[in-house]
Amino acid sequence: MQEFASLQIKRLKWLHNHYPKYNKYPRDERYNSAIYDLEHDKIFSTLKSSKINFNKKLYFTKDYAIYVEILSDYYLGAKYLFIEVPKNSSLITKIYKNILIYGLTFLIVLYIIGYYLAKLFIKPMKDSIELLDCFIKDTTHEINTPISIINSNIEMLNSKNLSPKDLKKINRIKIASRTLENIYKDLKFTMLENIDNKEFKKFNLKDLIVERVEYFTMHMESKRITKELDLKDFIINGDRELYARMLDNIISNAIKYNRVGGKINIYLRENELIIEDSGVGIDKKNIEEIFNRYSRFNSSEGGFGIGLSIVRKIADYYNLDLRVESKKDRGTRFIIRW
Amino acid sequence: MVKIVKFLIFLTLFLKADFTTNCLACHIKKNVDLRKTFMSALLVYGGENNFKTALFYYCKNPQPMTSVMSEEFLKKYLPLKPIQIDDMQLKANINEYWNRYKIKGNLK
Repeated sequence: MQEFASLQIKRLKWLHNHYPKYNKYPRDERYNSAIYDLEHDKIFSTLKSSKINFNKKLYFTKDYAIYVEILSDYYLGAKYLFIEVPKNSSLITKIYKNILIYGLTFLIVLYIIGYYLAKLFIKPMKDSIELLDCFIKDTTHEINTPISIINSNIEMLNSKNLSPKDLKKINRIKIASRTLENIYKDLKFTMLENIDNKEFKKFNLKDLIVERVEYFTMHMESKRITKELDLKDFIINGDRELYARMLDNIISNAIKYNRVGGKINIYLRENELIIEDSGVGIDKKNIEEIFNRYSRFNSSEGGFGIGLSIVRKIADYYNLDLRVESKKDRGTRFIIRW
Repeated sequence: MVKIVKFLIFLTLFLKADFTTNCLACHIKKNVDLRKTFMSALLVYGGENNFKTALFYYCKNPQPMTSVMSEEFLKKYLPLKPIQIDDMQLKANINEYWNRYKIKGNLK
């Protein structure tokens, strides 16, 4: 139909240049045609169908397919040229087939370009994460021995022979080495351990909490943080080491983001554990994201930002209901329910 | 009734005479074919109302940029002068021009 339109335009141009010597409107047995001016006034028409649509490039009546061409030069004053051909199923099938083929090709090309561009934009980010992962894995391997040596040697020191000044310094080293040990354990858990291989054993969570709080006592004392424990016996079935990881991360965060002279409360009841602090709190908008790996919303303290992602991972593994309530500058409360 | 018909016949004859004196006389003198000018303008302005409005504006403010006349004509008659007839008369002349040369109704 486009070819017929081009042919008709040529004929209209010729007639325009030879009018009024020739005034016979060009006709063709293969198609009917009509010309309309820009005010939609009919100039001449041989169309069989009366339905005229200026807004579509191609439309159909009961018996005809009509193609509309807009002229750039108004030959004989015409802006719209209508080409009408009898509708037959093969023509329509051909048109739909063309639309399908060209549409699909266009979509596929668009998909490939989009995929390539997305890959190109994401690559630097992916590379940095991979680099960070590799670095942490390598570091984790190397860090274990020196931490063990520091810890065992500190334990071997006889505190009675030390002056109060030296004892204070040794305690600081102890705190630092335990922090380092904690980081090592987190990294080892994240990078090297497989959570699915853990064994299920029954143990009293109260005992574990007391043990872990004891482990962090020195940290708390260094910030003059007071603690309040209200613990009831609660036997659970799981891996003790995994629960220790979860508690360590929540407690160490409660210490890390607490103010000097602050407070940490731990309540353990049947099927519920609450650990709350009087620290800096978390912005409401950031609460959902704190469990994401490498997300850190407070640059005042160190860390990789993997602690709470470990907590989430362990809670998910044991199907625990983990919730966080926090108020900026008031404190944060972690609630775990079984 | 007869008076009205007589008046209309008179008006038509008057306007035709008016077109002859106001337009045709000068174009013949300048050897400009009004049909060719019409076809050139039609190629650009298309529809009746658009054509008449554009021509009216051009007669009042003739500019080489908006003219459909040939380069030779423009070179010879620059600067173009606005037509010095009143708007109503000009519009009637343009109507007469359109009716004389229009395509619609004259194709077979």
